[in-house]
Amino acid sequence: MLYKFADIVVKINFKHDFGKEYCKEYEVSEALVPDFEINVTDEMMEKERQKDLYNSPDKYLESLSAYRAFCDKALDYDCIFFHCSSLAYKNNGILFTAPSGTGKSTHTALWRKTFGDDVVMINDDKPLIRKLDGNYYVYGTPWDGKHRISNNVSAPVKAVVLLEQGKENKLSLLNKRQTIFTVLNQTVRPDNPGKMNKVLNFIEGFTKSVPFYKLTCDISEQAVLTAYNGIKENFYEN
Amino acid sequence: MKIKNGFILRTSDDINLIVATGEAAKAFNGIITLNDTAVFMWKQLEKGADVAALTQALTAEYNVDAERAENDAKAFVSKLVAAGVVDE
Repeated sequence: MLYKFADIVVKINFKHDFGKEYCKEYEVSEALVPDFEINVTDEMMEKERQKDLYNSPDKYLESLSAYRAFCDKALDYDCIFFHCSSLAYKNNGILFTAPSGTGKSTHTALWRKTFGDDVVMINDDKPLIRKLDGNYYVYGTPWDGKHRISNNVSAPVKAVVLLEQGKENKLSLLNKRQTIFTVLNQTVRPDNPGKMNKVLNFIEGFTKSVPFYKLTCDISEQAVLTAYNGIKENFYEN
Repeated sequence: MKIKNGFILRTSDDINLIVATGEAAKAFNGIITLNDTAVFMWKQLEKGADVAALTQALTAEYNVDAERAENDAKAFVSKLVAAGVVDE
């Protein structure tokens, strides 16, 4: 079966129906020529099993293995995996990132509550970021977190916001070093030096093109407005 | 003195990073940022310098006395050895 993630066409041969169901929304015509093919081997499954903390069933591990293999190849297409909750506000892509448990999903849920239909969720957990024609786009994928929130859409990235829990709602710009670490800490770091260089190249360009902010915030609508008012100058007018 | 295999120095504008790749990545999860002087010392280590050679290079390159240079060289090396980045 052929699928398209981040405008990259890939052939994936899932053994379990689970993976096929999981990626159904991303299927594309068999008439297309795939950019590459993924087969999940026993070795890949074993590696995934070792990283798994939740005793997940094989059918789920297969889909994770496929995604891991995809993200590895995608580096050749100027595309990285970025752990964040991403949404589009009037087609302006915003990435909210933080260590697990900080409250990314809670925050983006508040954006939906505050702005209603002006907000479209792209992916609540594991989107892809790709550089195309000098611009950076965030793409939905089916690997969308425990609440399964995503859409098969994309948007140009207009801001990245690093979240931190705090009593006061405050937005500030990150310095160069902080922007690099913000991405490095939430993406895959390949073992292979050539691929690691690709990741670092990507991060270098990405952090120069897109503004990075830090938001200390509570769990209130005011947190959303603080972020919105600070970052909206980067938006396209729609 | 040898830097373990797999550690790469990557400079982007004014940010200098040491990242572990390959086998080294299995043991070392961190990322090291270096200031300019540390980059200079790292490049000497890449050529196989020991503390004495590092000290000499520092005094030749910077306006610093030998004792200060030696202390700085020792401190730099011991941090890298403790982190498992360099073999004595």
